[in-house]
Amino acid sequence: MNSPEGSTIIRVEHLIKSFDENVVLNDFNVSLEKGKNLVILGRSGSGKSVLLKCIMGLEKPDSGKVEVFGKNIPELNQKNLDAIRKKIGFLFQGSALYDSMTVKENLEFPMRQEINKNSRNEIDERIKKALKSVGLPGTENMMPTELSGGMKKRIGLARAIIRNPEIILYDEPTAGLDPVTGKEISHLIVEIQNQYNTSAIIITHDISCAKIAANKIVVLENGICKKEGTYDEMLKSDDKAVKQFFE
Amino acid sequence: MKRKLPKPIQQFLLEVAGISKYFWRFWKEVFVPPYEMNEITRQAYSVGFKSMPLVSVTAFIMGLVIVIQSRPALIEFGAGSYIPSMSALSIIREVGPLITALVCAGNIGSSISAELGSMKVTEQIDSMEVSGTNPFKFLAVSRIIACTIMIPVIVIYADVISLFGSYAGANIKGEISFNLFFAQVFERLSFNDVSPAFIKSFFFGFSIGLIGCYKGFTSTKGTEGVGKAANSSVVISLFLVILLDMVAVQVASIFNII
Repeated sequence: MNSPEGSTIIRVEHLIKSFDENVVLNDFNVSLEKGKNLVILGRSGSGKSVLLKCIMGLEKPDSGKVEVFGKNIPELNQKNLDAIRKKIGFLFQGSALYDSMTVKENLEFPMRQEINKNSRNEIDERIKKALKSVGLPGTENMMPTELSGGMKKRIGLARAIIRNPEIILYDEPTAGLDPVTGKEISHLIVEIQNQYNTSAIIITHDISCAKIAANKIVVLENGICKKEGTYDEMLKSDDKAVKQFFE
Repeated sequence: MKRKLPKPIQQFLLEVAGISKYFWRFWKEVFVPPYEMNEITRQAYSVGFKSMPLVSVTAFIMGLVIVIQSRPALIEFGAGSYIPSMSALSIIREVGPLITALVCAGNIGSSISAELGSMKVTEQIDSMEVSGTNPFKFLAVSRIIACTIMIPVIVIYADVISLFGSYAGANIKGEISFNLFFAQVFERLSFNDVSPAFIKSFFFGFSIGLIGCYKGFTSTKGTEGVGKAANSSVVISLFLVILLDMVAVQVASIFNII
């Protein structure tokens, strides 16, 4: 069953994560409401990607809560974690397409367990729909090496939405792209939000992406939430850490 | 006062612990469904196909050289007629499996660790995990099974090619018919010559697959780490193959099959 509009679907409380002596997230708090896009701004190495990995259960926090749909991720067993992961799409920074597979096989991969249950036609339809949603119909038989950076991001996004997730996590969706393609991807994020009724956490340091896609922005500095608000509120902020992004 | 172990010993022990952990993880997961049959088949084809050209050339030259090197000594002692059986025994019992495993450790082991290492660096392994697939099972278990099955097949293939090399070697300075050469080869060979060599090649394959996957999965520090992982995968695999060969010879000797 889908969560009601406006309810909190991700709640991160007092999250602490360190690697050896380096404390990356230090008592970090954030929440995501259903139907909203939350942008987390932060400098390189500020722990943004680590936060996403904690939400997906790829990294275990040292302490704190990471609740997704009311379930604390670090406490889940593999079966329950996989059930939660089915409801989340993840766009990796480098797209993380499988080099040895075609675009179609890449999109099929998250549905491998379902292929036996569903008909082949239904899977093919879902692949076609996802490719159409990201503006790349007819690319099923291409290999990742034949795609440009922007196309890889779009295919990565198509793979993220293929299982109709409720949440999409974007790790630097515009990184490594030219400003024009970056804007196209940012607009695509909003289109996906409207078309699939998804909520999203978008990790970025690209202000134009934040302007286009964000309903709420959080500035992350030194492992803590420095400031939280809308784009306009951030613009007016006197905080030095916030200003350096918006100037 | 507590004394710390020297760093190389610490690293060696950590490596042994890491490999042991992957060894147990393999046995824990190999019998649990889902069985990745398509991936195992794909990998088996890839492992076999990748090795064919190199193994063919190496095996042929190996057989040729064995005969050319041993021929003068055998003729001096009046044992020239033993050339076919002597070369067959040395190839099938020892040289064939060992050299093939060493070639495959360099060829397949490095390729597996480089492939998995670059998948790790580009977050493809994380991507598999978030899509609900167990990456260890899909990537490592399938590759280890493929290597365990295919290395013995490659060894048999290499033995055959090597015998042809021996036949060619025997005909460089002397003359022996094809039928007579192979009649003498099969006359001398027994089950006890073939079976230990065949059985140990399964262990060679398993260790090459295991080390390749272990080094690939644990590679760090970006592309530099991938190169290092491929390199150390070859070094450890070569060492393990030679160690296993020594153990196999001892075990065969205990059971009187040498």
